Amino acid sequence: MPDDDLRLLKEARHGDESSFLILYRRYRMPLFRFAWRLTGSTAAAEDVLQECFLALIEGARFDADRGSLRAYLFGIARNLALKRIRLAERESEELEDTEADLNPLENLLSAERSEVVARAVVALPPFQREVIVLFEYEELSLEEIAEVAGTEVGAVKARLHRARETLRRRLAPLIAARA
Amino acid sequence: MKEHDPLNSVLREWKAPEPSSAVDARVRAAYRSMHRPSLWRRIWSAQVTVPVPVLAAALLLLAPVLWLQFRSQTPAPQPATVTPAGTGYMTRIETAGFKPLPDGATRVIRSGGWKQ
Repeated sequence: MPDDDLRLLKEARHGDESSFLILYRRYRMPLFRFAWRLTGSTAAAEDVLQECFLALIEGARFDADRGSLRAYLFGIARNLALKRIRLAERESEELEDTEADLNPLENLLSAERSEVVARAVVALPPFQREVIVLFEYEELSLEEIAEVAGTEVGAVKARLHRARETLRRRLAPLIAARA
Repeated sequence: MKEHDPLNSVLREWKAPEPSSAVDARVRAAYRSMHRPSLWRRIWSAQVTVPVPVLAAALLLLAPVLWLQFRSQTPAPQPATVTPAGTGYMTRIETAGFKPLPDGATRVIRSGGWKQ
């Protein structure tokens, strides 16, 4: 974690726009990617990104002794994204039967590979999805993920293991083609 | 957990897009609205950009006006006042009831001849 995060945050909270922009540019992409992979929507991910930074500046409690600013920001983004996922699920009662739709062989023929992977990851339960995204794509440590998700490292490991097993099963044809 | 697992390379196939530049502008605008400086601060830090030729022309026009204004306000020279050289005593004359002599006539009084 960059050492100057805390100083920049203090300055940004006192109205220093240049400090705010340094922080924003530093975490803009990772937070957007994370929110996008959780929600599956660019618009939702952009909203999460904006709300995340405004919550940080508006005075969300950040304690540097308890963890990094990166983990803290991912925590805010996670809560905002999960809120949107729950809202979207409530709004559309008929959820896609993702398991049935994930016939890897058909997808291999009809869609691009990234699409297949995306659908496989998005089809995971939210708690497994966030862990796999943070670990595989954003390269957070298990400890940091535990901090973001507000759980124990052991629980993170278990979720990660289950997520990987599910993905291995769903993406077996792609994995076999690579091997 | 991650090394040599073909699942990892398959997962990397899923690329994320870039956020739009519109969201950057939105975030910046939201930050500015949260930290809008006070009126006094804005006045104090206000800046005006003036092209050099315009500034030079303005100064050329202003300089004669200011010079004339300065000249008209310069006070007229006052007569010089004589102040006593020493710091000794000062004589005060009570002029109440003073009557000037008629026709400016003068009367010479000899020394020691004055009687009230």
